[in-house]
Amino acid sequence: MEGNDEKKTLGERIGGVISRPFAKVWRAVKDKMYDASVWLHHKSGADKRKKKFSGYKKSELRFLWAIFIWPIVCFFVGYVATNINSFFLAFQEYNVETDEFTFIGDFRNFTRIFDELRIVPGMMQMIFNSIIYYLFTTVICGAISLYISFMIYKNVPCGKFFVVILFLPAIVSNIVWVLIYKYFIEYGLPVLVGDSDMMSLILNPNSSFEMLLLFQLWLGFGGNLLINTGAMMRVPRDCLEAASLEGCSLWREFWQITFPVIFQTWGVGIICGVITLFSGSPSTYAFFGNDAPMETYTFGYYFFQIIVGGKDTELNYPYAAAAGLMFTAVVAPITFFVKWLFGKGPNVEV
Amino acid sequence: MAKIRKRELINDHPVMKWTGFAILMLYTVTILFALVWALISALKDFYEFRKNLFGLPQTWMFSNLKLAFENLFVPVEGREYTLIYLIGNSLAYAFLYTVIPVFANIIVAYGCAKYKSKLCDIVKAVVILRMVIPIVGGLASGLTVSKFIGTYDNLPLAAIFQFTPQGAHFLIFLATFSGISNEYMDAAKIDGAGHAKIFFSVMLPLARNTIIAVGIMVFIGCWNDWETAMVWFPSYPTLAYGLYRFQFSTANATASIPLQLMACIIAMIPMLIILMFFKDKLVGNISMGGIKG
Repeated sequence: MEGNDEKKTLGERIGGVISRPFAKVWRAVKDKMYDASVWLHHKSGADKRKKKFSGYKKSELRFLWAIFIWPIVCFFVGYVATNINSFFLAFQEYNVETDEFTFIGDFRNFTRIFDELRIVPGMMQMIFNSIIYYLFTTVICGAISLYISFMIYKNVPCGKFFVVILFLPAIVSNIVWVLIYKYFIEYGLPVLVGDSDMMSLILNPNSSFEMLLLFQLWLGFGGNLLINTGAMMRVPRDCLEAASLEGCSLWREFWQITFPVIFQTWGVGIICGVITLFSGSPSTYAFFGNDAPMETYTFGYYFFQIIVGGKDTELNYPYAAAAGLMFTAVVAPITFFVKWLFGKGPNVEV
Repeated sequence: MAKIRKRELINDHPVMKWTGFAILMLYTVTILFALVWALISALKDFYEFRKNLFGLPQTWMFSNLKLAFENLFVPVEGREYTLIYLIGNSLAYAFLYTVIPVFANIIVAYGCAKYKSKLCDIVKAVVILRMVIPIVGGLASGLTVSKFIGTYDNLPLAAIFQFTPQGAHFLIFLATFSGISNEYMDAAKIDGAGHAKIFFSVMLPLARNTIIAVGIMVFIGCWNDWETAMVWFPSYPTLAYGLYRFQFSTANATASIPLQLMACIIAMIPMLIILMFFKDKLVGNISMGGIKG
């Protein structure tokens, strides 16, 4: 106010003009410092209420740790340690004299499989046999078991009796079926065909692999019966009745109603079965032990046989570990690709 | 009121119906023929077996049962394990490898199904991830690790380290416990029951049927398993491993095919008895939840 200004002395007026910008700056600094302190306070969580576990929650956590601790330890020993050791083993070699594994630091264990495939006669057959075996079990045996499951699901006459029969191969040991099949082919089949000098088709290298595949088909007829029929039973009954009223054929019902519903469940078996490309074999070791003809070799049989058959098998451990790593590197992307492929298929929620 | 019969669509398609029936009947004939042939051959001596492969025995060698127990053996480190020892080892292996892994699956699946905790989510994710991620060729490394920690050729210790959830059985139990209402737990909590009491006295009895079904399936699998005994427990030969060994034996008695087939019959009988008594539990539906595609 003009009256107030007139009362101020010259010194006071000069002081006011000089101090005004400093006051502005000081006010701005104080504001910034306040904002910083609020930010720090918020970040430190001092404003948050401390989360307190109730007595019951604590007892719940204690119980969960009590039941999980040993399974976790066993998981680390049986799975994590084994797979990490697989990696280290691939870069070692076994010394028979000192009975120890020593680090070699090169890739000779990894290149050995390629050298053997190139040099050892008949080893290339192993690749074809592995692929054939995988496709046979996935496509042919898978299709047949799906058909059988559908027949059982549709209550074919004497269905309950057939279920028990289809279950028998799972109930009775595989080695029992091997012995029965082997001795029947060796002794019984020549009598049936009237040629007593006939060589056993299993021992004959020209037919042994096919006979093993036939054995696999014979035992795998009722494969995944429970899983497939259980999945098929998810199809709503009224949906089937409506289809029947519309004049839907059995084949069309399977292809357009049942199969889409079970597709993802069925796909789990296919996805998990990719691993058999390198680890599967048609019970070759059960039939032949360490002495299978080269014509029946698959990767699964070969690497099983060099680890467990004969003496000083530890010599082959690093080689098998390296091969396992290479196979995993191949199978893992294929598995995820197959999984992605199945994800594109029908996914019907009922 | 008259019972309304459900009309199956398959009855409208006789060709498909009877084709399916014929295929299944043919398969049944092959399976039953194999079993009957094995039984009849087991009751012959070796010479009659070679001369009269498909006929009934002229001399019924029921003594083959006694001979099988006396003469069949598996030599391990200078010791001869006869059938009695093989059966004992089979029972021990089947029992330990059924009870411990199945209980591990039950208890971990129960924790994951009934409790909401980050720990449960992590455990469930790891178990499922382990099923999904394909690892090939872990046998050599597994043998090295097991020799290092002392579980190789040590059946009881190895069984203790099997206490970890794995495979489809975990998912089966997860689905089972998820399907049990939480009201049972809440009611027990109100009555003052602790976590262990709820698990053992309330939840386990409610999941009894699934536990029995899975337990029987696992027991059958262990009884029939010959590879595990061969690879991991060479000093504990089982009956199934013995059957594998007999076919390569050069000893006169062990190489006798009728005796080997008699041993097969002996191995089959317990499993057929189990199938007879628990058929409904084995062939009934078991749902698997938690993973789809």
